[in-house]
Amino acid sequence: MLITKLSVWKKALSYIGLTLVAIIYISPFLWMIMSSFRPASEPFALGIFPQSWTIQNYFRTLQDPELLMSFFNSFKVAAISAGLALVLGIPAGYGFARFGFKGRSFLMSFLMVVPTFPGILLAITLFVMAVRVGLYDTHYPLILANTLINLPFTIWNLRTVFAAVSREIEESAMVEGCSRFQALVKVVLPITVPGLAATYAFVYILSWNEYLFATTFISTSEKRLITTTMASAIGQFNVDYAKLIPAAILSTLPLIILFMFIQRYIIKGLAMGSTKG
Amino acid sequence: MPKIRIHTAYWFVLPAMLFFILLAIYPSGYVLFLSLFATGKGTAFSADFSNFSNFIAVWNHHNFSKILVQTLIYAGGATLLHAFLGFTFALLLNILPLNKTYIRTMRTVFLIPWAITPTVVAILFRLVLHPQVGPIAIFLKSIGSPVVFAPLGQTDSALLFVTLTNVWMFTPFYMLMILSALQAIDLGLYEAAVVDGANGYQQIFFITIPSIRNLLLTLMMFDFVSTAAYFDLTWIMTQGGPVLSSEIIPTWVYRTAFQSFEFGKASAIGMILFTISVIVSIIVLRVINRE
Repeated sequence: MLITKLSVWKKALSYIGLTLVAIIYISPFLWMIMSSFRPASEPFALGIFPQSWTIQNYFRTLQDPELLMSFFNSFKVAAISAGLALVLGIPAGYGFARFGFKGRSFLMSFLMVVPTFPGILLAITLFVMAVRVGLYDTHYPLILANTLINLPFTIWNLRTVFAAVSREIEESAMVEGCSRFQALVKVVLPITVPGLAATYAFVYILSWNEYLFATTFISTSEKRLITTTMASAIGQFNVDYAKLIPAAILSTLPLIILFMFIQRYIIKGLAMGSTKG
Repeated sequence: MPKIRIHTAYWFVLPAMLFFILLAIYPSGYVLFLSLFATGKGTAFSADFSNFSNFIAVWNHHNFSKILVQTLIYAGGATLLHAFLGFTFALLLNILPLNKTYIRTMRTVFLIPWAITPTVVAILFRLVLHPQVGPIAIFLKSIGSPVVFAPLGQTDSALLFVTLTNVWMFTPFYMLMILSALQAIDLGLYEAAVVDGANGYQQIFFITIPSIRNLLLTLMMFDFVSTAAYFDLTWIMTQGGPVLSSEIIPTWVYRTAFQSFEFGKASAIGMILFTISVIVSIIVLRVINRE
């Protein structure tokens, strides 16, 4: 539908209406951010918003050794998973972007089908496998599982990143004596850094957000990730909201901001793989 | 020369494919094996063919149809609402002739719920819907309402509110996808329709919707399949309760596998879910390819 002109009144109404809808839509999250500044001693029943404000909760959260350990574990698992996904995804994405070969379309539709396999079934087999080989309650199966579920998206997205690079650039490098692989590493990768970084960041976010495998493969509390630590905290009888809410904000807000910066680099890959994150 | 090119391509794709074979193809075969052969509890099961006893046990389970129906309500309801709301938001942001920077800002704001860690979304709505600390309950109390607001603790509303939380969280994804598809529609089509005298609604029904039909169907297919298998939100919000009123197949599989340690039976339940997913995908892909 084309609306080319609106009267001043309708235009003002559109601005006000849309802004209101947006604020109402994200209001639960805004409420949570505000609640993170509520003093620990102030009961929630006193009002929807804090009566007085403090950043003390954040200091307490950052001094909690268990939470810090969980943050570090999440960082470790997500950083390695994303790195591994990139190491496997770069050559594969490049292969799909540059070559026509037998089985190419089959493999590409296979990549689209992989995410429809229920994660809970993958959790069962990887759990049994991990127990058998003695890797249960370590971060290894977690890293492998994260790499696995995010690899299809990584390949799809990197394929679009590489397909946007002009072939002539590599061809001239190959004329000068580079192999295909050297041309990829020396010529293509340096000019696709934004796309690579965005893909890495997105897989990092998805691995950080992962909960099912983290709760299945880890039992020791020092090895828990931040998602599982928070999920078990909310299930307790006496929830320490003054620590849980700031921890939740700290675990998600930096990644939301990161996501806003990278989204334009990943939207094409998302449309093709239809990953939901 | 062409022969060498074929070889190069395979070398590039091979590492990722080996990884898939090792960690995706093998496990999916293994789940099938478990569902058919493993009986009893624990990871040291006897590997004798069990005559489909796991599938029969699941099929005859007194809660099977209840949980299946709840899964279909959850996944189907969430998918339809995602599509409807996502389309509405995208359309509004696309057709209103407002300031470009403003539209971009609104698009970013609407994306926030999807960018929040799902565990945090689950915790957030447990708090928002909480009967003591939640803002809605506090508001109701402050105006003297006698209503007891505990939607996640009541059997008739838990599934509904988990579904709505899912809708809140994933609608932005639809908005993002549909908006970028709407922006790609050739404006000349609308101009031609205006010349032919089409009104706004006719333009939406005869140009906008057909243009994004395949994207929308693909999105909804993946959405239905992945929501039916989506564990995190339901588990953290209600653990399938109270009294299994929000139990869906993935939480049932989890309970069976990791609380009762009946891996064969859990695999059988999961295989039923996977079969439904495959059937839905095939039907939708047929519809798309019929064009």
